[in-house]
Amino acid sequence: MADNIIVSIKGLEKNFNSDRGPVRAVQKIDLDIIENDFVVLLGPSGCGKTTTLRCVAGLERPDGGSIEIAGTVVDSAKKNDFIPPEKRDIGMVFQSYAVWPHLNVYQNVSLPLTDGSRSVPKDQVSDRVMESLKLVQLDGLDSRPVTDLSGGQQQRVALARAIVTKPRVLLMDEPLSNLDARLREEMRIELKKIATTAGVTTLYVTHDQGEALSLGDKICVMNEGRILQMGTPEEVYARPPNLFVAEFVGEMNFIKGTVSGPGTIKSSLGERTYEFKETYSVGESVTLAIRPQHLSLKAVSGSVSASPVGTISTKTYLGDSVLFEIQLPEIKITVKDSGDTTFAEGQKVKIVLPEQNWHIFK
Amino acid sequence: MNQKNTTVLGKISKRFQGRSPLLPIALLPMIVLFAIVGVFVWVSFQTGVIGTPDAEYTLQNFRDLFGDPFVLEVLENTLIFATSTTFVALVIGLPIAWITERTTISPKELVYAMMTTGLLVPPVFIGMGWTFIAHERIGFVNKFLMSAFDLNTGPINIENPIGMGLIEGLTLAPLAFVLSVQVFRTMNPALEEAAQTSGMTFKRTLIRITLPLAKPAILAALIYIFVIGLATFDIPAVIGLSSNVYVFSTYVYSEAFPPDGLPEYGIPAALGTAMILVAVVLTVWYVQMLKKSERYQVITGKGYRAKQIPLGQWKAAAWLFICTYFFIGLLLPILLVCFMAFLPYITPPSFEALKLFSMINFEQMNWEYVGRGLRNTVLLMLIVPPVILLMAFCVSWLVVRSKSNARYFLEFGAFLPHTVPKVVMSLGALLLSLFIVNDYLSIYGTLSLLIVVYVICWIPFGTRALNSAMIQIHKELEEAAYTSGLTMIRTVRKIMLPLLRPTMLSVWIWTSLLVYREMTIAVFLISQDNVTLPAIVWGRWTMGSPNVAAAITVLMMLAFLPLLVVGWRFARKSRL
Ligand SMILES: Nc1ncnc2c1ncn2[C@@H]1O[C@H](COP(=O)(O)OP(=O)(O)OP(=O)(O)O)[C@@H](O)[C@H]1O
Ligand SMILES: [Mg+2]
Repeated sequence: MADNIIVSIKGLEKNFNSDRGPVRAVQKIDLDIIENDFVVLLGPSGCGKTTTLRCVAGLERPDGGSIEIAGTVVDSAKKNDFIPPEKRDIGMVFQSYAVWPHLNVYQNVSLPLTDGSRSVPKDQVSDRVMESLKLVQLDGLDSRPVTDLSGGQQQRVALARAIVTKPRVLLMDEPLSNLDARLREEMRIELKKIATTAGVTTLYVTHDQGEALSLGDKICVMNEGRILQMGTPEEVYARPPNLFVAEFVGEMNFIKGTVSGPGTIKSSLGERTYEFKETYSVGESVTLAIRPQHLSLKAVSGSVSASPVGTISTKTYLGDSVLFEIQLPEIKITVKDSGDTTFAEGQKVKIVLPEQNWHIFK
Repeated sequence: MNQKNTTVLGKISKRFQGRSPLLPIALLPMIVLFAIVGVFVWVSFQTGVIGTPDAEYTLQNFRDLFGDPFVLEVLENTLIFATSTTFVALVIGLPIAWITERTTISPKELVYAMMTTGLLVPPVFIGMGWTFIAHERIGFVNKFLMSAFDLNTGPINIENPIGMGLIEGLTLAPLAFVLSVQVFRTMNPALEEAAQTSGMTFKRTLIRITLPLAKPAILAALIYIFVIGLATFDIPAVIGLSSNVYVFSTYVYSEAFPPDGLPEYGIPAALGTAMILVAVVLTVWYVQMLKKSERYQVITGKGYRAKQIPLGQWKAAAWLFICTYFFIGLLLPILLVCFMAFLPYITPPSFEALKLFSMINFEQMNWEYVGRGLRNTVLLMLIVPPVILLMAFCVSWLVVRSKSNARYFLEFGAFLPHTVPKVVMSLGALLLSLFIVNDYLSIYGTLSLLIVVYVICWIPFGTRALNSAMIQIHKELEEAAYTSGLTMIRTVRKIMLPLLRPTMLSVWIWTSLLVYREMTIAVFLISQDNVTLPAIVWGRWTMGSPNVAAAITVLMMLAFLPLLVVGWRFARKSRL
């Protein structure tokens, strides 16, 4: 299948004027979204995710760059070719749901079809609405006032309303953040299913890395208005290109060190050899990073070894695994071990350091 | 409000076991109100000399009332007047509210300033100004048209219910503005954005989303203004009385203060009683609408305002609309009043008229009398606001923070003055002071009587503002102070009072402005000693010296200009 780019963002910039001077919310973002992909924008609060999404929707006008949807330019800062939101082939789910409180479930979902630019013949409206409601499992509730619904149900109404016009692109801004933890897990799986069934290209905003990893076909990690990495969840998890992504996605141990020779780094773990993927000069400060599950523990034996020795300061039982915090002379290291471990708090242990799986950041 | 007893009030009420020291203060105005309304209803069932053994208890007044074709005409006039008032006020106030909050018009502060000035100017002034403009015989527009087209009578006639409603509507448009501007400001912008991303155009969004969402609030404003229209006195009195066009309030007045013969209290009391019932029903409806509209106001976490529509070429049209209103609703009538103040008799504005300019109205004024009016008005403005604040504070505190069942009663009682027309309240106070308490307490004709009635009248204003301010101060703010080690007294001083201060200040200023512009109550309750400035204006006006009335009006505006400016600055913050 040829890769069909459906949303293309080029050099997007957006500034706001706040009381404390201008805020550069988005700075030169490039992003191509391929048809039927589920793309997640992931980043900390205030990094410009919502702003990017709203520019794609046409709810904000960019200060620089251009946006194309399905081959047509919908907005560019240079030329006067703005296509307003109502003329774009999109559906959007808002963080606050934004279901219209004066209408019932059916009316909420049918309004885009009866009053919108993508309206359908009258005799098809009811079928389309029912189809949508069924997809989000709300069939049977169609005559309820939306204000009587639970948060999760309102969320589904918002979703049904966004997909009822069968848009090319579905935009979602933290749609699960107002739900409680359990419901969020359920809806997460549900959302993915619905987006796949509806066959819609999705741009999804979240600050929850777990959500991003489990939902996205592609993840875009953002910080301070820029995209730091774009890739599959596996890529993002396994190969963070810089310290920020490494810190933001998944658990990670960071150890400061200095390059002491070709392939060796001196740190509080001692001087050891690592696999260098870049060239470093001797004396350069670097940060070593490794995920807790790549480390393991061993009982301290009499024999002298190169492995660092420390004391278990806390033990957190997670069911299928256990998180240990090990106090070394200078630093603390987190180690994830299998659930049947017998090590206990206060015990002295050896940390087994692997050859592989290290990340080195400048 | 199932709160645990950890708050200040919780502690107090625990100590006093339900006998909160605030309760008597909170209850006092309500007891007086019930007494006033009670007397009124009591009188409505009597004929003969009321309050004496000669009085007879019957339903005769009610029978007379609804069998009298004149009363039916008065009712019809009242309905027409109130309808036309409501219509005009909303047609002007709503669009301006929408334009102000939802378009890029700027400076917005200016629109707010223009609209709130209208809240501060006594409606009597506007009524007088419009008489000079459009009175059938003396109005200058009519005079001009008569001479231009060689007519015998003026073509414009405001001395009828529709015409008076038009003027009243002009004076109430700022209120319609203030009541509806809130909705447009607090509506969740995502609701409209959702419509846009669903493919709906601006116009469709307005029709299907924005207006339906604003509907309960607009309906609430409509009811609120209609109730005012049913009961208002100032403008129908200034414009209609001399032409014998009566509405409910002026009818009650003319029965209670007939130019000749004995006052008749029974029938107006019966009419007033019926009116209270109508007002109560409407007010219940109003409260329901208000609740509904609050349900629609989901404010999103982020403080960003809703998107504002670029006005583009409509900018001029928007300003033209606002300025036209400001001109005909406020500026023109006030200018005319000022103009007339310097003329010996009513003369249409022209260069000829300027030659007649003199200070004669001021020179021949009874300064002793006007000085007394000024003194009384100032005294009222100084005494009434703090009393209202104290009582309203007690009521609000008990309503918002207490668990006692009394709070439901208090909430209702504090709201009740809203529903009682001012003429009813004033006449009730008159009857109460003259016939019931006069033997023990001769309060009739004193300033104290005015203070009592003013306080009762505007308590709801204070409780409403303080209720919403106190609800916003989350209980946890107070608890956070305790857990940080602050004592109760320190918490009140360092946390509660600073947070409530802006609201209290604005209630203070607003009530003193309301006192300043109040005419109805004074007209019913004054005698020689306790006369107020608006009542003097009214007196001169009805005694056929409109130019002297205009001169006193100018004095009144000058004397209180500083306060008007302060009120202006607070107008934006306060919620009516
Ligand atoms: N309308 C606005 N006016 C002023 N500043 C704004 C506006 N919208 C966004 N900003 C600023 O732009 C930056 C990016 O905001 P944005 O809402 O895109 O962040 P976000 O990544 O969605 O964050 P969150 O996860 O908290 O929703 C922030 O610093 C924010 O304060
Ligand atoms: Mg956001």
